[in-house]
Amino acid sequence: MKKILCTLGLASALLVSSVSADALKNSLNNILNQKDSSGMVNLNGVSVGTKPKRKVVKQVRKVRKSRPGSAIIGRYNDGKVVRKKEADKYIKKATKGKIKDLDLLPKKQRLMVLKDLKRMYEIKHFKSRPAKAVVATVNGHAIHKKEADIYLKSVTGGKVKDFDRLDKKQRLVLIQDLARPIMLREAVESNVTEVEKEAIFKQMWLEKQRATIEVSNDEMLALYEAKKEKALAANPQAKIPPYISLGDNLKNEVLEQKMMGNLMKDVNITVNYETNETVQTNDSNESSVKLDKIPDTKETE
Amino acid sequence: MKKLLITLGLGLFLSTVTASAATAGTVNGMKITVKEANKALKALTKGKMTWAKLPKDGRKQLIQMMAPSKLVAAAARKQLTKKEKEAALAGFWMQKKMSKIKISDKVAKNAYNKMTKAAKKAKSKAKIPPFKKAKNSLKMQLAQEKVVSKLMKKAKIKIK
Repeated sequence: MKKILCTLGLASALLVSSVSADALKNSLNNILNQKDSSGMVNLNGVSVGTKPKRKVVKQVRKVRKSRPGSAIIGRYNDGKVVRKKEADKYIKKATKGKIKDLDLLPKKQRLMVLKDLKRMYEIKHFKSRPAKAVVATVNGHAIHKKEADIYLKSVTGGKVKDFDRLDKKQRLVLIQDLARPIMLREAVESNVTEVEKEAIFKQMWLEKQRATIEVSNDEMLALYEAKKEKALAANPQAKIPPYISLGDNLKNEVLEQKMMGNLMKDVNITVNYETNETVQTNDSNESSVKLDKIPDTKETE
Repeated sequence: MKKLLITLGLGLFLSTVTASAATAGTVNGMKITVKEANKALKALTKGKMTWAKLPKDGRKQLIQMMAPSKLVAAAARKQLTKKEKEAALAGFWMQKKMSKIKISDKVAKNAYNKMTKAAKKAKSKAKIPPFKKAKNSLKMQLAQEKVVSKLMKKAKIKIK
């Protein structure tokens, strides 16, 4: 019986100790997992006395094999080849000797160098077309280089004089400008009648004449007095407007009188008294003979 | 026979052409045809009088009346330069086309706002007139732009 009791006591003691060990383990785990809020520096990861490990970064460089100087790297616009040595020379000069090999540059920069070389080549070997060359057509109408050059010079204030020096976009803009009067001319030709044209020219000529003729106050006053006299002669009680109120009307009248005077000066007028509608079937020779037959009807103003 | 017919036809054609070109008078050697005289008379007398019915004095008076127009036409043809003529014709055509285009106040106002904004952005010192004052000229400008852009659409440009 004593033995049984000892065995039971041992077994229970063992059970209690195993349970209490689990609780300790758990509480330790909790401490580790809990974040430190004490403000103390966490030195968990630091191992004092050992050398720090260095991260070794392997930089993988793609080493391009440099091409020989005679290698063809492109073509100019005229088809001539661009050799690497030309580009190398250009880079060396541009970088003041810091870079001497085109193949050391990334693709983007290599393309830029090629573009620059092409541009320089074009400038060096630039050949302008002759003045008579047709540089564009607008609805079939030719625009000659001379015309484009003159316009370009006027537009740029003399800074650029050669149409061929412009790039494609600039050329188009310039030709569009030059196309406008051509298109207008076309529109006029197809929409304005000969009668309208004559009327327009007459009006313009008269306007030009008006601008050249001067009218003095004396002339205007003389006309006013003459008109006043005439009006009063016809009706002594007529109301005559004051001189000032007539202003431009008088000026215009004097202008017209002067213009008519200039126009009709030394004019030679003939009247064909014998022409009438029944004779219209006559041919032109006959009618001119009739004109010649009536010298007495010749009126000279 | 064929040749004879052609000659006769040509003669007939010429006689009809010259019939309408019978001379009523001349001004410094320039012909005034009966047709032209009748046209002027029609306008002056509202169709009551013709050259054939017109007495001697009337004929002289009419030719004298028509003379300045003939002289102006001749002077204009001679004295105006090619450029002046072209400019005058283009101006006339443009006016004709522009008169058919109507620009609304709303469109003009929008354009005005855009222009004022652009002027402010460019820090322009020029005085911008109020919309009321600028409206009409702005409308004209917009109409002209419309005409020109429509015209330029028809242009077939080839650059060589």
